[in-house]
Amino acid sequence: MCPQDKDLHNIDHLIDHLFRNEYGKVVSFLTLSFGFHFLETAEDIAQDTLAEAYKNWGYNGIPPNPHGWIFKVAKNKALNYVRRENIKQSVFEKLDKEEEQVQGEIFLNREIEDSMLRMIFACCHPIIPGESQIALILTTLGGFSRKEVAYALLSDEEAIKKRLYRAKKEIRQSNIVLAVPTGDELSERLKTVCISLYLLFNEGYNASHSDELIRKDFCLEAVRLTRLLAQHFPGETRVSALLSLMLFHAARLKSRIDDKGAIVLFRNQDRSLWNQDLIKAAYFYLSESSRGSTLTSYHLEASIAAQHCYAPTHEKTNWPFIFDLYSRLYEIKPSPVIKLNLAIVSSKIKDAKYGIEQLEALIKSEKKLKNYYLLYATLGQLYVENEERDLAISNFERAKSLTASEKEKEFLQNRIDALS
Amino acid sequence: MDEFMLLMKGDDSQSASPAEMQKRMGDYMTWIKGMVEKDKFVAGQPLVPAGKHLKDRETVLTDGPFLEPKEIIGGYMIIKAQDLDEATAIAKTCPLLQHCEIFVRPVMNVPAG
Repeated sequence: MCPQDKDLHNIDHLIDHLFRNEYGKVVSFLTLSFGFHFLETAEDIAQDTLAEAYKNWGYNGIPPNPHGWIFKVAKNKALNYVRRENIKQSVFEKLDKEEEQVQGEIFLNREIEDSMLRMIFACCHPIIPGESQIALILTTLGGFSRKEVAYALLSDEEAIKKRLYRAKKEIRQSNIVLAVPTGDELSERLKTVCISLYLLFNEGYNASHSDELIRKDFCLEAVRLTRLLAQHFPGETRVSALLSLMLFHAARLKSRIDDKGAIVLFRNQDRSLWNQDLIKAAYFYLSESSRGSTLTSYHLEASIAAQHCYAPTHEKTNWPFIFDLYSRLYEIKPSPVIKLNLAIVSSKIKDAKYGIEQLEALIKSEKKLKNYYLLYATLGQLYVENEERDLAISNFERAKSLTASEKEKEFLQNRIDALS
Repeated sequence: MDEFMLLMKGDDSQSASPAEMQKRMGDYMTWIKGMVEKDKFVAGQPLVPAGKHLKDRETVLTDGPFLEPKEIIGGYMIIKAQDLDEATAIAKTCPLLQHCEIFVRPVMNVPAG
């Protein structure tokens, strides 16, 4: 399969979210022009500009070039602010000069992308704690409001506000340079950036939140930013592997929830709902990622996801190969959750009884898995397959008491009801 | 068919998140499209949240961004309807009603000539 421009265009369409995307662009661009101390003002200007766009377009229709419209208005607002606040002349001149260059659209787009890249690196600077990095990316680049971020991260607005305040203070005090690192530093810093984007994607992908829409937005935002990185650093296979992994999972987003909003078990998912455009794009980035000699956990996770996406049915999945991939993943990232996955896959290769033995052993040996609801949900499923009804019910009950998600609870209760 | 002016009072778009704004705009565009298709829409404009309020020639009451967002007339629209009841029914379907109040006022029919 060779990369088709068309396939990659289709994902542009899917991940586009005009208002939020423009917000991130305006904030990045203005912050880059004025420096990090301008971040809050840039956020205000972006918000103002979008409010104006919303009102104006509602009456007059969306202009042929909404992006250009937004940038023109945002720049005027920034210039007015600069004049009003008597900000030193040099900055003013710089912006004024850029104003003339707006004509050169391509130049501007490159500038904006560059400023977004710099923002990503600044937001993911190692001195900022991981959880704040995500909140910072979501608000400054993703255009999510604090309220939306709080809601999605199951936190409250005040906590997010504090987290952001501290992160911004840290950035100011440590004089973080808004720059894209080069040479050896680039690879090193990209590691942190990738971890943050990976977590952002997981935040959206995991069932901890019941609001399907906001979760999907988080996933797509992670895809969008990772794609920006992949385009700029085609040689960094870590990034293409991460992007591939995200795209394979994003392809299945729709099939995970049924018409009534209930969770659909992976084995029961309607494979015809999987988005083939995203799968093609995922495959493209997976092959890109194999160009180098580096093997990251993203490579392996993407390969596992690829195996699932290419299997014609759940039964016909190449389980032995997936087992092998998980074993290698465990070597790079020895986590108990991967052990759990190994046990699940081994039950597919052998039988439910074997899986049950593996999982029961894990409960005893792995403290971290003791309160992990997925372990008990899986165990319940295996007991169902092994026709041990009572043990199935008690494990589903246990899983239900351990998950915080209403959707999961509902799903497990349905399983229990079906057995009783 | 008579003309009616809808005055939109209140504007909280300043505090709405980008995602919310996009959603609102989508809803509103769909509504407007329906209005145009049914030939009910005549004209409309948003208003800048600033202006002056003249009491008489000497008294300019307020200046600049002068009111609480809830009090601002954010825009107007002229629609076609059989009567005030129909115009009111149409205004009730306007998605903007979730975020602002709407005044429905018949435009006075001045006989030509």
